[in-house]
Amino acid sequence: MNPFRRFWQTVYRSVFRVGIPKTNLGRAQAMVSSFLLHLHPAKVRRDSLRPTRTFGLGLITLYLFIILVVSGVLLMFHYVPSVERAYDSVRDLSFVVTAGVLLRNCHRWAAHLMVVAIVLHMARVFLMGAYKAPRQFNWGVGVGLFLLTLFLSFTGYLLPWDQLAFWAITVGTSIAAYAPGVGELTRFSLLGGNIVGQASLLRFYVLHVVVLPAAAILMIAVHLYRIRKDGGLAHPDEDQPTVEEGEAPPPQKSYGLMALTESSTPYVGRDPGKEVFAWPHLLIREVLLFVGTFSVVLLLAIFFDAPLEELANPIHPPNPAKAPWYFLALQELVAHSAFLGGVIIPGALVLALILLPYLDRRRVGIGRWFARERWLANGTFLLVLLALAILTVIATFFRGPNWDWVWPWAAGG
Amino acid sequence: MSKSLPVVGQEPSPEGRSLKTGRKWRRRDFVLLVFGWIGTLGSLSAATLAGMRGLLPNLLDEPNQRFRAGKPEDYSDGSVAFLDEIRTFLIRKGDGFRAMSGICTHLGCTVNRADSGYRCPCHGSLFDEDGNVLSGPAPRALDSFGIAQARDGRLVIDRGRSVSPEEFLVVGSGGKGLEDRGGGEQA
Repeated sequence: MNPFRRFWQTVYRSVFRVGIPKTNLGRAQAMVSSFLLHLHPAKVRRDSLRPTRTFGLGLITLYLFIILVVSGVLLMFHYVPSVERAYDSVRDLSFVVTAGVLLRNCHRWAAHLMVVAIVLHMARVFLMGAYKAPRQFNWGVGVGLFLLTLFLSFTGYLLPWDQLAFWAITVGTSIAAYAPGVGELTRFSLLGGNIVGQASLLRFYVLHVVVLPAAAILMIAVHLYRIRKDGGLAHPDEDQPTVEEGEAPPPQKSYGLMALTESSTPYVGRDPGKEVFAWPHLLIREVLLFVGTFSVVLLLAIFFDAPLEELANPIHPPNPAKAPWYFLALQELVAHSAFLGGVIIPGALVLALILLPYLDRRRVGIGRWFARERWLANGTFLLVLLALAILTVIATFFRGPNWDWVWPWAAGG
Repeated sequence: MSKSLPVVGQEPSPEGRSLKTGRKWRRRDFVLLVFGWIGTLGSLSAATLAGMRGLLPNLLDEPNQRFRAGKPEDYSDGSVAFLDEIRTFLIRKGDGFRAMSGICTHLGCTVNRADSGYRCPCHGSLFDEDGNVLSGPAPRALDSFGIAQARDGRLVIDRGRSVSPEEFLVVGSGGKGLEDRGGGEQA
């Protein structure tokens, strides 16, 4: 072997301990000897890989987050968080920066898609009863990530300092002021004063580009770690109607050491036949899912431009002043009562979501879509989703100037 | 003292000299424990509080609460003028002036003049001519601000002083300035 080749081999081996594996042992070693690959188990249930089990929603959400981080960092090279220059710097993306419009569109549509994906992911986990022990805590982490996604969206669309941004800050911080006790202080510290101005923009900028993403990255790490520690994806085998309520089985890996080899040794309930190696079965699916997700974002970004309203006018809001679609249900609620619709109902919903796995402790219907035994829980969840959807439709199509009721098919608009 | 030392030949407990093994507390352990926790929690919470308090601005770069709205003659009888800078309506009835906030008490949008009264474009609150809530989510009437007349005769609206909606500042006819009621600027 010539010295160069040998040197190259040494460097390569120092980075990648295992080459492209050819044996099952190698496939297992490859998965556990690399930082990124070791996020995965060496083997996964064949069932868990079926598309209809998860539709890959959690992974899609993660991919969208990664796309958002990368495109967001690129946007930071152009954006100036100053009330004088923010709007122009965003407009420059469309007219001055090469591919700037694509960059901004990618960021915008990935953000919208992430809200969709994380809601669907949450619905999937709920409808499969996958939040039950031992996954209660990870469900809570997921609820936290859902809230972070909404806060990231909110702080994000404030930054262009257009009409939408200015009046969203005004209304959003006013809702916060309704929180009992700490409301006024929250509003004052979010705005950095009593009025919406430079201090407010800078604060929301720092929240958007550092504080919230850092919190999200940390919680995503915990979320992924706990998926593995809690035994991989929920599976019907975990149904244990005989087990006492609240008595969680000990967390277990999704595979045992015995299962790493294909032997004739019987291993009750965990026979090798039910599991496949993550390399390549899981990895190829993950790669394909990323390609698919990225393609959808790119296509949307190419064909649809992210909107930019007029420059912020601190005197008059637009009429009607509508929030982005994912906050329209909330806007419809606060249009009836700011305290009830802006504080009590959202607070109660979040609290119910976090407490849910500690209240619903029956170990039935785990890992199955729409388990009949869970009709009450699933029905309630779907009803709440339906109510939010109806509110969103009303706010989108049936609300005109001054938030008056209008018939969308009537003339004008 | 010697009682609490591990006995030779016996396996020491994993925690070392644990305080939870039921042995008598030694003064040294107690002092270490108390001051250790006070020091740790104290320094952490003090640093956190200082950092958080720094986020509350001590100096605000915001417009003055007092706004000079011009001379009474600038506003005709029966007019309702909207003052952009302070988002406030200046209402004149006869020789009486009243300043009413245009900021919706619900969530802070600017209300618009409607056929009779005021409407909020964001969530649809409806107010009457005096700013009282007729319908919608607004929790209370639009604020009314105190007005005074400066020595030069100009009206000064003081947004720091709330008054009842019935209170009108009556200016003398012929533009003769009234005495400063404490709301005018002293320059």
